[in-house]
Amino acid sequence: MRKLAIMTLVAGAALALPASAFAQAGNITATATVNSVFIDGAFQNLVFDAVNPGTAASVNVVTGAGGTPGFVEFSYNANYRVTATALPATLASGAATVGVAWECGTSAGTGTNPAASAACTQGATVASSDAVAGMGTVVVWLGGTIADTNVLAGTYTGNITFTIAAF
Amino acid sequence: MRFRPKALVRVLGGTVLVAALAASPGMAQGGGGTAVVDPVQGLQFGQLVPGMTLRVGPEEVGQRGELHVEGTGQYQVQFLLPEALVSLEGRTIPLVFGATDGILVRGTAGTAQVFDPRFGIGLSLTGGVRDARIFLGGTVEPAPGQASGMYLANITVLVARN
Repeated sequence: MRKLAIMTLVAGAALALPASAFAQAGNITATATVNSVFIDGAFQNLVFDAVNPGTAASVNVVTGAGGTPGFVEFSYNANYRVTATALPATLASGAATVGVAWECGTSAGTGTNPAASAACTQGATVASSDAVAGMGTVVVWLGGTIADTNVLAGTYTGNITFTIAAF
Repeated sequence: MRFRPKALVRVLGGTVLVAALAASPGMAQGGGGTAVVDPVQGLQFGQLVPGMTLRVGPEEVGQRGELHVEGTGQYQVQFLLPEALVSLEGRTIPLVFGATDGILVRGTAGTAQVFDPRFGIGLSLTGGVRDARIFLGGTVEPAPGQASGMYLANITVLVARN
């Protein structure tokens, strides 16, 4: 250890101090930690076009055909994982319910069509990155299919939650 | 005269980094007596928020950098100041030092002398005063999109006898 310290001081002295002077070197470290930042940005509700009894209805997550796909936008500066923390199996209108199968997609912005995600069930990871180099944006899209439409007339709703977190 | 960190890195290569990790005191013969430089505390900026500049002043006890110098005689103190904190991935945060980022205190009850670490300061360990403390502050400027993670840099203090 002494040898290393001496090498440091000799080279340092040669740069700016008189050649005849004996110099001593002490080192400290400056440190900082940048926090992980996640920002909830724009969002859009998923809306199916009018559903006719007896006919399946769907909103294509990639093309948007069949209605208005939902999305939620996240900004991040750290490696992230987006999880579908609440993705109900049914939509409800009072006591009446209708089953729904979900489709998820992701894109880097709201102006582009998403690519479909492999998994879209409650608890599944729908988007992630482990090579973040600064601030970025990921948009998680949602579509789905209602297969059994032989239900009472009404407006059927459900709440969906996506959560972003560092890993 | 200001030290040029880039030049030092070229000359010393990995030696500086190894010395920093060890945080070992330097010791050499100083004419009037043996002098020692002991690192006491690193300069700690703590948690940063992207886009928000943060300054740690040399008067901030828990965060400022601190070194202890012991010896006898007249010395010149110079700093090898990095221009950025660097992450393991090679990302950087600019690190700047200003005119009031250094404080020198001679002896245990000496008066605080503010100085500019970019230009160093003379140190007189005479008249019964055998030691001094050097405090160092600085400012970091994380970008709005700064990636999260740990960033660090090495600061070297050189004490040479006049």
